[in-house]
Amino acid sequence: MLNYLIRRVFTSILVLFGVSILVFSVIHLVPGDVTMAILGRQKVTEERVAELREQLGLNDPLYVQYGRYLGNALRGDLGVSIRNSLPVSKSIADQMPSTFALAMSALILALSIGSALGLLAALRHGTWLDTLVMGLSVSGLSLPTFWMGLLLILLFSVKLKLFPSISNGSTFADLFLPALTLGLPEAAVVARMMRASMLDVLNKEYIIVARAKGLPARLVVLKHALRNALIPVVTFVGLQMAYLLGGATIVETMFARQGIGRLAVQSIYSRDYPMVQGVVLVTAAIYVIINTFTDITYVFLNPKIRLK
Amino acid sequence: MKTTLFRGLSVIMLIGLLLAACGGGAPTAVEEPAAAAEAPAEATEAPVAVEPAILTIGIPIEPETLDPGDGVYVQEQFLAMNLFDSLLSIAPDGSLHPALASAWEPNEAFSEFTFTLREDVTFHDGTAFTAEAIKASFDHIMSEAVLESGGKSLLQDHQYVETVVVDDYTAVVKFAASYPLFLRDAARQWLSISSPAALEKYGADYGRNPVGTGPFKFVQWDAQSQIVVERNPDYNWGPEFATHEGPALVDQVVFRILPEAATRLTAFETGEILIASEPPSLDAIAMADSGAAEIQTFAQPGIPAILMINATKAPTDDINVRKAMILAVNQDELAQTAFQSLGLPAYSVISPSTWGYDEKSASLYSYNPEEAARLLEEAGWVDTNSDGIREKNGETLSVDWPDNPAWSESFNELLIGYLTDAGFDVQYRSMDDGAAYEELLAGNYTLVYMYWTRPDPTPLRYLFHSENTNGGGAWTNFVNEELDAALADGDTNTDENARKQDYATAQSIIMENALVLPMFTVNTSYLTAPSIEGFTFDLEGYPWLYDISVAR
Repeated sequence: MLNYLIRRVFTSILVLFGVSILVFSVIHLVPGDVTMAILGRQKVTEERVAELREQLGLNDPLYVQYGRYLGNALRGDLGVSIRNSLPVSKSIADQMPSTFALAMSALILALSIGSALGLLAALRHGTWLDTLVMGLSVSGLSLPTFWMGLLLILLFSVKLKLFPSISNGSTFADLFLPALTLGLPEAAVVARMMRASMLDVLNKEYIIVARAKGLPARLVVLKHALRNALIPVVTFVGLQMAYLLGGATIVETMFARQGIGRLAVQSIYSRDYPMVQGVVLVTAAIYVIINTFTDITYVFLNPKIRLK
Repeated sequence: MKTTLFRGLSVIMLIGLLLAACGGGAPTAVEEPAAAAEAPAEATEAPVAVEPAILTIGIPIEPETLDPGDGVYVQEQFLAMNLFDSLLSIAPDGSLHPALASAWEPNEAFSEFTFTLREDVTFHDGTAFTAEAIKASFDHIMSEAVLESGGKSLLQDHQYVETVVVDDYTAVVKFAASYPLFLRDAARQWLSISSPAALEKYGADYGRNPVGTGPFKFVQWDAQSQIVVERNPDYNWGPEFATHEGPALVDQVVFRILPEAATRLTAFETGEILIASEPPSLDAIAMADSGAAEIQTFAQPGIPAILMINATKAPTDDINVRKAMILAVNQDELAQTAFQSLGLPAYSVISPSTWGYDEKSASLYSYNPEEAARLLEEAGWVDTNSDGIREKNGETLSVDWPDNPAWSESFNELLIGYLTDAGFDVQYRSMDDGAAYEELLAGNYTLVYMYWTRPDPTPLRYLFHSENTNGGGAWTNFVNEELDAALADGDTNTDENARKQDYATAQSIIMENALVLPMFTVNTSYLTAPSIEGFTFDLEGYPWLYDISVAR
């Protein structure tokens, strides 16, 4: 157990280390001089360029620059935005809760809509309902998020005037459309998995036994089948958090929501390198941390893996 | 199987924990500042408010700062003009009027300006406005705290020396050089006046806590979301050319930051915003046609959208080739393409709404492909191998355009089409701004895209005076003593008529030598809901929110 734990944490640190090198390199991979990229077509003087180079610490050897970058990052100092001179870590911390609220709501929506539809399709296997649900799920999977979002806005905001088309808060009304847009492709996958898993379980011997015992169909489905059919679905959805955080970029931009996805987009547009570096580093760190903790918790709960 | 369930559940639990740990947890809700309700309605003749009149405006770009002295971009100027006042104000017709200064007196050399200030003005933080504020604001702009800004380049380029506080309500602003345009520049947002107490109190954070004397007070700024300002109930020093007196007509203005044009349009359609800035032209026209909105457009003064032509690099070192380029392009069609029916063609190096615009220089060229062909043939450029591209001594008629397509995507293909039809081989090289700038510095270009919004023709000096060749902005590399003299004198001569004459000379030299290919006037446009009343533009094309009201 301890061995595994050490190994797992060590590899995670290694991954984070690699990410930090990549992120650090970004500023040196920009074609031409990064100061020019930052200053753009402003009226630049030699002094201004020199000043900025000094400010970015570009005059030191690479390893010194990297060491300084890593040291600061470990202390939570991700530098200062070139665009608005605010600390990068503060900007990210300000935007993070909004992205999490969006991703979580999308996850909940995906799970509830997807499981309900999948369950329905499995129970009505082979009927028109089954075909309809599967058809819908193919559309849900195939329609790009930005198109789906526009359709939802057109219907719910422009025509029905039920929900705002731009939203920032975390109330139900504010979150509904963005979460639906982000969650629908997930829901489509969930529906398909739920259906397959349910069909699989329904043919298991213990279900036949339960039925043979004369249990009511509702009880068989809800108590015996559903619980087991949910396992692969929940696993899948849980691990989709990363996808949802990434997909938030488009949805946040579309609904003009606060969030780290939009922060990344805006920073890229305005060539705010410290901010881009910070967002990438923090997002990567979140992925790595979530995955590491999941693996560790998993091992803790499952003695079989411990033995391997 | 059960273990996979645990695995999934543990992920969800972890995320929940992370969420909870995220300090505060819930994202900032759209709060309506409580103070808005307090804004007294009895101060104006406006009908007694049942609910606060809130004006929502969708803006495409989030400002970087609300410190007017530190701002560089359009959105900062737009926000600043509502929170701050300047020493003087300019009416839409270009005339100067009192603002924070009730009277002013330049010395003979136009290098020292004595301002007599209003005595009844208070800042939003309650402190009194005195001459000390002028000194503090200008000194702040010149300090290390401001690296580069619109205000800094105005003061620095004219060698600002100091502001002398004579008494509480008299200040003298001194420059080492003659600065005849200072009174006009003193009316611009870049040089508006901040509260000295707030500058001191907030220091580096002043850009997020602005305190001025303007018709609206700053309330809150939610990054990437919105900036909220509320009516200043004490405001009683609006400009005399405004349509009303006293406080602004709306209780609150919410600037929603909506970078996507489609998002702005939808939010406008659903009524979530009442004014949308820079809507997509086609949709805006359709909405206006249906009566659901009005389009307000403003042709910006200053340098219109032009291509500066490198006059020292072959083949455009030949004046006939440059002239042929201008004649080969149909500006009318180009403007239509870039802005649909909202577009205005440009025929000169400054746009018609600019002070000092010279009509004669604008009438030198009009679309004439036959004449373009004749000029090119006269210069020896003939299509010998009938591939559509002209050649001379084995060289093709090739022009090089390094550019960031973000600036030119709405028109560059059409423009290249015209030039190709005339027999040019246009090498359009797409790159980001930094790389394009390096190409310019290295001299690897024939064409440079440029526009510059300003109510007067002073940018001509940056773009055409020979002191600015070699990377300073004069990308045509054209050197002409008469042009240099006119541009230098135009910047410093204290006689307004002489300055006008200088700029007319400059425009005519630039156009006669075919140094630029004029394309279209850059427009600013806004979509306004039918409930918006009193929408007007200021001299630079910013909506004048002070006079706007929202019908209930």
